[in-house]
Amino acid sequence: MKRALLPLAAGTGAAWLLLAAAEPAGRPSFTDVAPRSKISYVTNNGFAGGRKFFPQPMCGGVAIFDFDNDGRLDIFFTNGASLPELTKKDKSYFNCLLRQTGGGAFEDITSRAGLSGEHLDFNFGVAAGDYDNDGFADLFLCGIGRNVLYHNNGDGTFTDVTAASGIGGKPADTLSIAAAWFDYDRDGLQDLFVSNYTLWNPKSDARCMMSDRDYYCDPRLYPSVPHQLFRNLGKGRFTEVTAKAGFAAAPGKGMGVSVADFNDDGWMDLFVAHDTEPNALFVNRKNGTFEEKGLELGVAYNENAQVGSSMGCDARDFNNDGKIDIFYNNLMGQIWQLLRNRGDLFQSYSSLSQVHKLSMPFSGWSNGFIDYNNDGWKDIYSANGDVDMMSEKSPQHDTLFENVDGKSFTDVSAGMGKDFLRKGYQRGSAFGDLNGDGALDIVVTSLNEPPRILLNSGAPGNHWLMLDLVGRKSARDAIGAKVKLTTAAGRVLYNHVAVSVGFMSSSDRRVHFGLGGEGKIASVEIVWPSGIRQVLKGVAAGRVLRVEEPEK
Amino acid sequence: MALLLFGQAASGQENAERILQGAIALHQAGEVERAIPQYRAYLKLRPDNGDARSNLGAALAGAGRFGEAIVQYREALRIRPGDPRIRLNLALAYYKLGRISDAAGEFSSLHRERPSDRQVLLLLADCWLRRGENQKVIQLLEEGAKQSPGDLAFAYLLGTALLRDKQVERAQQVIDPILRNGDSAEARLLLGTARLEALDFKAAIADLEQASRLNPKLPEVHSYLGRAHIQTGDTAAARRAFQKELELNPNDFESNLQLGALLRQDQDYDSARKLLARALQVRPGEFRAEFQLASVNLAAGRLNEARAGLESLIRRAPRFVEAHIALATVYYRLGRKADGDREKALAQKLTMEQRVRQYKVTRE
Repeated sequence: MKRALLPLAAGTGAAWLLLAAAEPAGRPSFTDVAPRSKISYVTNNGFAGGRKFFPQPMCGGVAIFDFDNDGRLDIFFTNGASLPELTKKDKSYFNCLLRQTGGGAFEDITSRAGLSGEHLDFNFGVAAGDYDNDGFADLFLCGIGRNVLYHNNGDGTFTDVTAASGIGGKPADTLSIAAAWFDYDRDGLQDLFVSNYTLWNPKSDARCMMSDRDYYCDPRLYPSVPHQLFRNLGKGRFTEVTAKAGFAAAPGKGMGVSVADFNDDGWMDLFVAHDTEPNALFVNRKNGTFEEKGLELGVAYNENAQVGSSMGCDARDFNNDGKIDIFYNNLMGQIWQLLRNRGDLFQSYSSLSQVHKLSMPFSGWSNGFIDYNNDGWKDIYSANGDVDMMSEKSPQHDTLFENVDGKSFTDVSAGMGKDFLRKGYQRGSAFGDLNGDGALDIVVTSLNEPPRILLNSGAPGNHWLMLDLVGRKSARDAIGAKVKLTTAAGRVLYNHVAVSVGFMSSSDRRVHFGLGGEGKIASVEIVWPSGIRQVLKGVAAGRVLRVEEPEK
Repeated sequence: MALLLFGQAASGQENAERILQGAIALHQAGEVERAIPQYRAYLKLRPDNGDARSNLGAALAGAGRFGEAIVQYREALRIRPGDPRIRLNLALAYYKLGRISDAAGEFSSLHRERPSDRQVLLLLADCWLRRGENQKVIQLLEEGAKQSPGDLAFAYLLGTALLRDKQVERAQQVIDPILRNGDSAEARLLLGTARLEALDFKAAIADLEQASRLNPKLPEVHSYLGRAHIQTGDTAAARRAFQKELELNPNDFESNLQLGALLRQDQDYDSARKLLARALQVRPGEFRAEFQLASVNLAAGRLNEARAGLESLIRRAPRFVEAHIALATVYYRLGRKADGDREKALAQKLTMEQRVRQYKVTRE
């Protein structure tokens, strides 16, 4: 052995050639149509320079849902509050309901609908769901102070029914970030899971400073808290079953929540992304209780047994193998996790799929598996932007990682158009086909900016199908209903009804399938949450198909 | 008969000498593979010739057969106890085989006897550096570096140890002569490692790539480049860099460890296991390598091997949080829920203790 310390010749290293990848013809892009409508909503987290408060980075939940059943998807946004007063002291903090008038144009009907929330404080997430099976989607809002259940009256207005429903209670100072409707006990009534984050109030706020400048404190300064489960008793009444169901014993710092039947036993389970704490996978034990098995099943930590800043999450079958996988994003420098469901446990697929490399520069918040180009493979969208405004790398653009044959992902963000690439501190996002062209659109909020309503230009030549599943024995929303679609050529695709997607947000519940170049469908098999199986033949592509749950 | 016998004996002696001379000639001509059987033939006739056995060891080492070389050197030392040349060769064979602890032991003993031997001193320092014993390297080299301020090898090794020991200012003073020497691979490597320490990964990659262009065979340059690439998430580039380092230096601990971990992520468990075993050969009992090896076994479903590895690791490193987490996972998967719960609770307790130590805030 000898360490060389010799005069050195000129470098002989190979020169790197950067070759720009050619964009495939027909790849869609996104255009922000929000400026075309009169929308006054701006996500307002109450930061006006100077003092920073811990909850401020989490603001701007989004719901895409058809509140008036006119066949056009509408949009709801949550908003922040003035701090430290913790009030929506003026209209700039009000929540917002946008009714679609057609073709991606919207009118603000917040006040008329009774949803401004002027008596509320800082709101985070929103969950849209028809809890009373009356055919109209209701809204549950999470926040710093009280959580709220709004009943959709079916006439364009909503009523705060929190007190009467028994759903709003929570321990003092609990920050509730997100919520998910689902029927955990298969009684045909949608129950509610609330993802709680920590205990906080303006007086207990830790102030973190560097060189006389505030920065948002590390969440590890704050305690974990239990999540909550509310059982739907029918007739608009709920009872809290948090302890009985096993959630009191498994606290965390809840962010995004995904509902799915991960172990394919016919009962809905829950994945909860935990910020700086081990993530949780609550497995439904079919007797009204859940067992937290995140560690055992390989979702709690990353591959090096370390926690990350898990943010939003989505659970879908990204490789069409019939098993529901999990994605959650993290802050920059950490690894966004794509967890492949092996059947018996989950295994990180981030490195093999390139998600590891692609995600390193980004801090992701909301996200979702969406087949943006209708090729039959679910891609990964992420709304990005760092926690704080600390460097030129902090404001970030969204990313779209295109799924290549269910095996790997490639970053196609650069080709998604300038509106998609707007840099900022993006937070909430939701998905749905706003203009009825079969391509999934995206609504995104950004801190202290107007939202973007990103219409997808569509992928010419690729076919699609949208299923509007209506439960009968199952709860009407049919959350978790599984769909297996087989094309005429024998290609098999999977998806399921999921509304709680990403972070603080609620997506259209209709089940979307991109079919690639195939326009013919051999069969559509639905497994309803009740366990009823239904097979449809002769389904035509290129439309929204409403399917009601059969008697048996 | 006597003559015959003598004649036979004389003929046998001449024959043996002829074989030995032939072996030496082949050895000197660089034809070690052909020299080896000749040496062996001679040693069958003269098994107690220590020089010939040492030569056979050298030929085997020259052929890359370090394990066999070690056997011969040890046998030679039995015949010629304490011979410093044979001990140096034995130490070098250990070093090449990745038995860095054994090599360090031999070099250490040689250094005690010959403290002014620069080669032994530098090799000993390098062994300790590879074992991560930075403080020992600093102690060993500081005096020598003062006495020979122009000796760039001293400066390089000492500067590296100081950087790894996070003594950045002192490192700066020591490595200044290297940097003043103009754009050299060594200077770039040191700059690159300093930038890596400062978490400036892009700048680190630029320096390290320049270092590798200036001297592609500079020890550890590709290893550090790999580590910098990992930090940017470019695992493919990291993999290439570690592979390059290992082609040049199969015993580089970090390359074996990091590439092993990457291959685990890629679910290439057999390859990962080989590299991690090599890392552990270089640094027996190193916690990170043991943890990675156990993690490979866990990921590959070899639960009992993972359990044994983690239990052993935790006995020696009871505050290794990640090891407790992995062991909890193993216990759960083995159906040992109570043990899993216990390890999980321990991991949570240790994490909380770490956080209490880590976070101090100003409250209004």
